[in-house]
Amino acid sequence: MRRPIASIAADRLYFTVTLLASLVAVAAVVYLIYKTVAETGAVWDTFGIWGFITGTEWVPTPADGGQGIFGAMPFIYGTLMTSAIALLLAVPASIGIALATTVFLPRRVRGLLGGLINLLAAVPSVVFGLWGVSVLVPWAKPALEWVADTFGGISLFGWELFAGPVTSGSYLIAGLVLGVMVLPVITAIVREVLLTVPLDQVEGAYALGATRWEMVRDAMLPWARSGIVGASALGLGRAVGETIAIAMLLGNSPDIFSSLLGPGSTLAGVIALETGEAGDLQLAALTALAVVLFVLAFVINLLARLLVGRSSAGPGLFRRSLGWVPFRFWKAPKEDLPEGHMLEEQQASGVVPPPPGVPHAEEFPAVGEQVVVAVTGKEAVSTGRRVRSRIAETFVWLSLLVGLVPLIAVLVEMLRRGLPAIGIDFFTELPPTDITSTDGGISNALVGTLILMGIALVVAAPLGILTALFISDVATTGKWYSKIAQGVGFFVDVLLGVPSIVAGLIVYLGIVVVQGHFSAMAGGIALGIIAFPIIVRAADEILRLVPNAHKEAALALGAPKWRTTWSVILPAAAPGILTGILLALARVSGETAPLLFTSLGNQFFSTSLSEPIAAIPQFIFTNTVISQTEASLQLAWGAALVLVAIILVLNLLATLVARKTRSLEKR
Amino acid sequence: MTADGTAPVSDTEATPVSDSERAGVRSTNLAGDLGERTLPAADAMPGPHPMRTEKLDIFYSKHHAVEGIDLTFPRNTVTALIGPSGCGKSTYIRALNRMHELIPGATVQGKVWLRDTDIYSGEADPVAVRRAVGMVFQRPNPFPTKSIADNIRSGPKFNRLKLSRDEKDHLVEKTLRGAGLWDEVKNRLDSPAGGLSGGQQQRLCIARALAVEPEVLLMDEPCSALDPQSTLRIEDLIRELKERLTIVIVTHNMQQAARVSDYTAFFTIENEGEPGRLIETGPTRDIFGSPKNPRTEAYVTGRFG
Repeated sequence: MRRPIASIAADRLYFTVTLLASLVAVAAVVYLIYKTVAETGAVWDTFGIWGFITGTEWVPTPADGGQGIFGAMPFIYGTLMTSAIALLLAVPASIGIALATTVFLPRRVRGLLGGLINLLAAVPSVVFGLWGVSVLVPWAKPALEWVADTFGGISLFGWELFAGPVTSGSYLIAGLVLGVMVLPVITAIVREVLLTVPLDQVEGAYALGATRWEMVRDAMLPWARSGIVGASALGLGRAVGETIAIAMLLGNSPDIFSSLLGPGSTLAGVIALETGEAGDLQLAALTALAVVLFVLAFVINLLARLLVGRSSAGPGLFRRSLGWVPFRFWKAPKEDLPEGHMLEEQQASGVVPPPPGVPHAEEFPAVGEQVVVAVTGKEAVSTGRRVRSRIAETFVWLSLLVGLVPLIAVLVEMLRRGLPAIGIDFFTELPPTDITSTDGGISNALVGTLILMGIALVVAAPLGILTALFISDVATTGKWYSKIAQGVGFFVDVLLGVPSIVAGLIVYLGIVVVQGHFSAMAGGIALGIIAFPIIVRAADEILRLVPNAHKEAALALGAPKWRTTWSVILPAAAPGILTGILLALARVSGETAPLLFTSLGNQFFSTSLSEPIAAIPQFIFTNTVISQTEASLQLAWGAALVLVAIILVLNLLATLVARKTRSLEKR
Repeated sequence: MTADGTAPVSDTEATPVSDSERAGVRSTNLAGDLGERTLPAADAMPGPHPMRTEKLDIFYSKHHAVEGIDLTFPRNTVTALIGPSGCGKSTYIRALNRMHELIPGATVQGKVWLRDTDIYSGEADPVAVRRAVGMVFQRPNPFPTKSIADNIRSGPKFNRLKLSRDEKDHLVEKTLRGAGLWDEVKNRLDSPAGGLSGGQQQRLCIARALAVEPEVLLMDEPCSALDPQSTLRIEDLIRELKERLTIVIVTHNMQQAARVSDYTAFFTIENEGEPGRLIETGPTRDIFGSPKNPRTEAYVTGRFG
């Protein structure tokens, strides 16, 4: 029996196309990374690797007109310091929120509040930056000045933590805002891990007479420990790569061990702020900083991956969280304990003759009187236990506040200041040339954002789907394919962890500098590089969900591999893949950092792919940081409202599409 | 309820059996009229009965799972609850220490007396109730990351029993001996409990439950996940433990019920969607030897269920 040549050829074609798509994606990114690393040569030549990394000075244009001095330490310090402040806030709060939304809150509102916290993840970085600059900093200033006056004298080994003067950008503010931003990521993972705690562990603790908090402490937290540590590491990975909000809130001052109330700078922040107008050696130094940042993020993510992968929730969770993909869009939540406990019929095991020599249980030593336990009144549960449980629960409620207050503050401010800015004109007019005027709109930025998203879609979606097919479907057909698929899969995971500013920089060096001009195309490609791994992993996961029985049914009818994929697997997985694409678009639509020196921005209306183009996030950034007038801030809030609306609509669409996919799981 | 906490005689007369649907159902406590057999009637046992339920109805949201159970559990006896799947045995036993209410939408009506306190009354604290009424589950559920000794200590730790170091060590040894596990684990008390075999884990769970000195121990099919040899060891253990405690055990294994229990209560469910009801109770020998109700006979002889 032989198959027709055409059938064999079609299968070969299917394998080859998906393989090539994967390799093209890998090769393109590797090329861009090569261009980036090649750029850094001058830095290592001038300062040496160790000299650069440990260098504490960053002076791009010395007063004497000589060559600039570049050292990475101030930025490494700033990155770690802001991240540390962020985690100090976010880790406990996330655990509290996760506990509240899995155990402590009434069942009906758990999902609602969990969803609200997820909303935080949908607010783009640049909007947090805007909120920080226009609301938080002015509001917190008196409090921070009081802190400076009261604790200014405290010094730790000569490091004056809270010395004045209080500047508008500071470690403390930037760190706190960063904490709010990483909070939903950590919360989502901790929540998922807590939901994997087996019911019998929970019941085991309750049956011994544990209070709710004691149950959590002894049954849930130990079970979830490695997941929590991994989630924190992932939060750290997210924090070190965070760019725009930090760039807007930290000032830009390369200081080490300066006051927490004063300015600083981070790796990502300085790249964002200085790349556009850097001299040759400075650009090389900034690129070297990007390499340092990439390595830092890579190591942290690798660590997180090991930890989360070891936890009960597994590696799929790790990937979804790296991709910033909101959780449980395509998996039915299992937060409810099962209805009813009618246990399954247990087969009676029949008469079992006693095996010879079963040792008798040893005599139970007498302990005197039977203890009579009080089940009512004050003796039932001691005051100390009640107080402890109350304190723990108070902490849980406080955590919920930490998550909800900034969210509500941002949303309220966006509506209060954004709505007045929005009218018909806002969508049809160009921005005012006079920065003290509010007469104008964001028509160019709106169209620009849509064009950039369109390019990202065209770049990332076809390659992403083909790559996903290769690593989940074609990989199963042969040893070599499966080896290559493993490599591609690892590469995709690495891409997932690349900070978006680094994606922007490699496109800048690999495309903008080579072509000699900024362009919409470059911006779209940068967004595509961010969207690509998200789409691959979402599609990969959903393709694996298609039951093997379906594939085997088709193959057993004599269908060739490609036809099985085309008419059985893809139709079943299509809604899930679409969900992944929509979520990836939602994620990149709010990105600012990779656009700053790729699509650049444009005051005028442009639809040309080879010209610089405006985008909403970049418009918000410019208006907040550069214009800084009351009028331009109002336009920025209006733009923020439009941007968040776009992101929410995309998320909503994704959820609606995902509903259809749930049926896949039931089959 | 009398002052000394003795259960009043609850009985068939008090429950009119006019309903034709319930005509075949004898809802009675263990005292019933089966008194003068091998075992004394429950009410004739010395001392107050540690636990008794009175017209207990159990619901999952709107689903009526169990209806009108009157049962008394005499001190220092083993009572087996038997019946086909879905008849509400497990539901019922989980209502006896308020584990039931942890399931969303689960409620009860009626009374569960622990000595002279209704555990569902407002003044009873579920946390303290669960300490007084311990539970062993179908699948062994030791805390896997904690050591064997820490598993034993976790109950006393929850309940803030003030124990000196010596007392703690003694407690671990005492309860592990009580559960017949001491010799097997005495050299690795500090290794994680997850490393034990299934039968050992279940005995550890029993030891863990004993460490808070409960008055009543509920066992929900404790041997269903175990091999025959481990099952026999647990049964030996149950016989030892009843010298100190009152035990209620759910089992699907007729032979097991016959081997370990003093009293047996047969539950069943008539039709899909109806609540489970108590059909017949009495000394185990009678239930298995000369059941009064034809359905009980059909079930224990294997013709039904």
